[in-house]
Amino acid sequence: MRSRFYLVWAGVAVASWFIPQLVEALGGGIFYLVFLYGLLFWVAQATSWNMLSGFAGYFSFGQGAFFGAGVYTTAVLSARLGWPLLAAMAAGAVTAAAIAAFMGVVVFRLRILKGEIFALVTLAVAFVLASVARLVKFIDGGQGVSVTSLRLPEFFGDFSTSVYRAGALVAVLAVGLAAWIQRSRFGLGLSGIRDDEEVAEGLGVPTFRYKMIILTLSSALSGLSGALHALQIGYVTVDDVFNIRVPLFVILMSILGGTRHWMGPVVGAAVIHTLTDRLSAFGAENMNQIFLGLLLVVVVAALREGVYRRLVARRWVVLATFVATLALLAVTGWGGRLITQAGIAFGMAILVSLLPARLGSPAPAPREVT
Amino acid sequence: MRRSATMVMGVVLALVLAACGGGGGDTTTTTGAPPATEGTTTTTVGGGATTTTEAEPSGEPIVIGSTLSLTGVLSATGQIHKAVGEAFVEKLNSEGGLLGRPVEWLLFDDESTPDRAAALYERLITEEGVDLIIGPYGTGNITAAMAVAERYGYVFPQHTGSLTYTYTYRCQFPAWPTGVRSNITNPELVFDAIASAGVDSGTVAFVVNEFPGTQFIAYGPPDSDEGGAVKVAEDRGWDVVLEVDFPTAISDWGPIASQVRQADPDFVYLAGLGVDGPNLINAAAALGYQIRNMFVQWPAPGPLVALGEAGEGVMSVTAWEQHPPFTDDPEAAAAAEIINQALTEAGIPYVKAETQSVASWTAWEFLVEGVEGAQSLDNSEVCDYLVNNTIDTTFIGEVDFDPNQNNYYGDLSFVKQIQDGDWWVVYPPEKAAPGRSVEWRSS
Amino acid sequence: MLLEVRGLDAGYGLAQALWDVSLDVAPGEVVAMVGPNGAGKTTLISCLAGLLQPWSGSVRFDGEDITKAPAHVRAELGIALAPEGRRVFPQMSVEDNLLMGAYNRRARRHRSASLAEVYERFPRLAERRHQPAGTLSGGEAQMLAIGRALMGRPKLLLMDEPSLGLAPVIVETMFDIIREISAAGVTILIVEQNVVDALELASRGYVLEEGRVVQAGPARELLDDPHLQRAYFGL
Repeated sequence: MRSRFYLVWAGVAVASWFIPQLVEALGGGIFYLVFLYGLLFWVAQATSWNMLSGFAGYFSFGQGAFFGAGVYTTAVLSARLGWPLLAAMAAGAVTAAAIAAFMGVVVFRLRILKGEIFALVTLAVAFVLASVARLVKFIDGGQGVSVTSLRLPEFFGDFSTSVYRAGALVAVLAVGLAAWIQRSRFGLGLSGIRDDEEVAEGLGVPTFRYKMIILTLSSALSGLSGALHALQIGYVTVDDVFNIRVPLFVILMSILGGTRHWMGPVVGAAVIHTLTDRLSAFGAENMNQIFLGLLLVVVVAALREGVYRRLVARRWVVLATFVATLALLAVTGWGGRLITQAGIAFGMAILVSLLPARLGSPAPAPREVT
Repeated sequence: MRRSATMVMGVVLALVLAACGGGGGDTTTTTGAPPATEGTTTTTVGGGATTTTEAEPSGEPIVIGSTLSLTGVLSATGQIHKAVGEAFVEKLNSEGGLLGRPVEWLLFDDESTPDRAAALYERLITEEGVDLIIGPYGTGNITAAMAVAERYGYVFPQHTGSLTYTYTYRCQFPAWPTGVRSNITNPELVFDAIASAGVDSGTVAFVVNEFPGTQFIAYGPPDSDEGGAVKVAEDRGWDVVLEVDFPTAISDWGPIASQVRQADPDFVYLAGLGVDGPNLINAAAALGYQIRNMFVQWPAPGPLVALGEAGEGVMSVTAWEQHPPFTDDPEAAAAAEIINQALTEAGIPYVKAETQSVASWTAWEFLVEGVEGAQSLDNSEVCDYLVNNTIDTTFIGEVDFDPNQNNYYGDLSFVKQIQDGDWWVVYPPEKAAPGRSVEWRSS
Repeated sequence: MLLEVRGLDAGYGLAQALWDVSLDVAPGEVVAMVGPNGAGKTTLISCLAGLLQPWSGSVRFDGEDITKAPAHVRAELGIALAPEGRRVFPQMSVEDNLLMGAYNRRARRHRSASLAEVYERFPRLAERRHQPAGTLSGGEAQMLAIGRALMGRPKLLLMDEPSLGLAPVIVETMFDIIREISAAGVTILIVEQNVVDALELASRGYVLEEGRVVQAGPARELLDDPHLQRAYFGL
């Protein structure tokens, strides 16, 4: 059972390594890799957030802090101090984890820092880090850091391919870890912390240690993903790195997909990244916020368990919708590029999954708890 | 408990989103900036020329991609670059296009943010498959987009990038003629100009935008002690009585203005851009304080002039102004008129050709010269041609890109000042408008 | 003694809630700590479970000083807490709630057997094993809290107000269940507002008023005590 789990995830990692060859064989352009990298970046970030905030219930607004620590550590160490890229990336993950651990020691010792207060503290940490980066000349000093000359090892392929592959490895690591945690004793303990921390502690869950572990792990993953993202950004600025985008998006993605299953953030990231990417391709960037806001309201109000549960419950209907829409678009040629058509089909499938039971086709009974 | 907390969080997030959505167009400008343009515009002007004798362009259009800050904090100036670019492409197509083919400009809105700009350039190159690109507006956006251009080996002419020392990409071609050490040469020029009015020292306040380019001008590169404007002032014996940084998206100028009033300097060096100048002047006025002498690094030209009496005496730097001796060159004068018309049609308040619009025009010329010179759309060939040849431009003359200086070619800036309700070059004397020189208000 | 508490002072922030509380629980006993609302009963339970650090005094369990031991260590040692009825893990299924009860290493080895035993004792929980615990009725939730504590195979079961907010009929059932558990050999310390039922169940009792133990003795004697009768039974 255990060994099968590892085998599956190793298989996913290996398969994702060969996606670029597949894309090329199918005649797809570099853009597909750029798109996939973006998707995997968000999968890693949302999964990282969900480990702490979904599994353990500690709602964080501070994802940007750990992400930003990873970005800046890598950028400064490699571009300014000439560290080897992989060492700088590792340092990015370690720095993010160290900041998180320091925050955790302080925050988790003080019992009042829970719930909304905890969320605000994480937000404050992000603000402080942004200010430090802005003020310390050596880090940023207001002029940003150019990381244009950095490249991953050659066997990763050309730039876009290499960034995609590294992104895939980070995402597989994050999601695999989340899946492992969910079925582990550790994961059960985290659920206890989320539902009633005092009682969990009373039942033998070492809550302080568990919270420290999950916070550190979550931020290390976020930092690692950020470290890689420094390459993709090329030019790192405080305003872009520490803005509200990362913390907001990971929350949206996780809540949309569902925070209680490791697949939730993955599905949420796929939906939101595809939506924003295609809207941006149409130059309708401004529509993004409207769509995201509406989606969030619908999900929070009507679908607390997240889209993933619905997808599982209505998997055949959803699959049929996706295939039918894609086939229709392919035949009529409407929607332009394949990636857009796939995006539209995906969107339709999600919409069908969201329909209230009365309107949708009769949904098979959910396998799990409703 | 937990449920309701989630609900609250959800509502808060929805509000934040709404705020973000509104934030795009809600800039702090005090200008009469034109209404925000929709995300994408494609300018295809296929011939129909008025004064040309050349053949109509034909064949598959050449697509040139770029972004501009059409919304967000940089949009006031971004709109100028849009109007000028469109005019240039129209003129280009009316004169036979590029390599005999029509030119199409695919333009996205980067919302004044570097990461958006970088993502959109990557999309232009990989998804849209554009043949050529040209830089966006604003140092941060340009620097971010340049990283993408380098990644894919695209020639990158850019009009206004000011982090000169970081632009090591061989195929980036700056049209902003400040030279690679603008952090020193620009302030030196400014203080030389003041000295020409007989003022060698005094008290100076530095008010610095946290924008990368203005940080560089004020303080120099972060990993050296070369310094910038502040150091230049100190070295010249000026007494720096105030040094204050402010965020690019600042909304309340009151505290800054109050500090300036407190310091009451002879001279305010505002290392700012866009509408920072009028904002500071207005905020000071609201406190009943009038700044005696002020320099603004890279202002949008119109809003300061529009201030009327309050804007009088404000200085800045420029590469070209639409008055003699610059307009003595008939070719430049003619191009300036095209710019006037384009800016008028675009509803931009200040329609004279000046440093922003001229830089825009020049960047387009680099691209055209490179392609026509190389007789190719291959980016590496175009790049080689530009690096290896002297390029003739309408406004700033002949340009020799120097790879040892990040393709810069010396500082071609001049000091301009608002006098009698308009900008005039006042220094150095050989470039000054007839009868104009630096005016200085003493305390 | 299984549990020996000596001179416990405790409180929250600056507000002291317990003054010099001492008590003993012998193996196999059912001890009741009764007192009115706000007497400090829940503070005491929190101190014993390790959720709150006392200011001074000592707690010994099975001969070992556990005054400073955190709650999860006490759970390993065999102290289980059945908190007030509503404090189950609402989003987790009934079965996951029970498995959480066997979280400590010692109990984990027996968790399949424990689960079967709990389902046998509480058939209602077996019926609802896949339902989120948040959807249970008050009585069911209380059963779940007790069942969950039993999953830990405790030497000492701490029960916080098992009758709180339950209908009288269900309270009866609840106390019957506690009797059965005791008969099965589990030592129980029960903290209750419901003085009569608690003392009828217990062998010994303590009366807690305003943070102090004001009376102690065999449960029978306390029930007959005129002061208590006046204060609590309205006689």
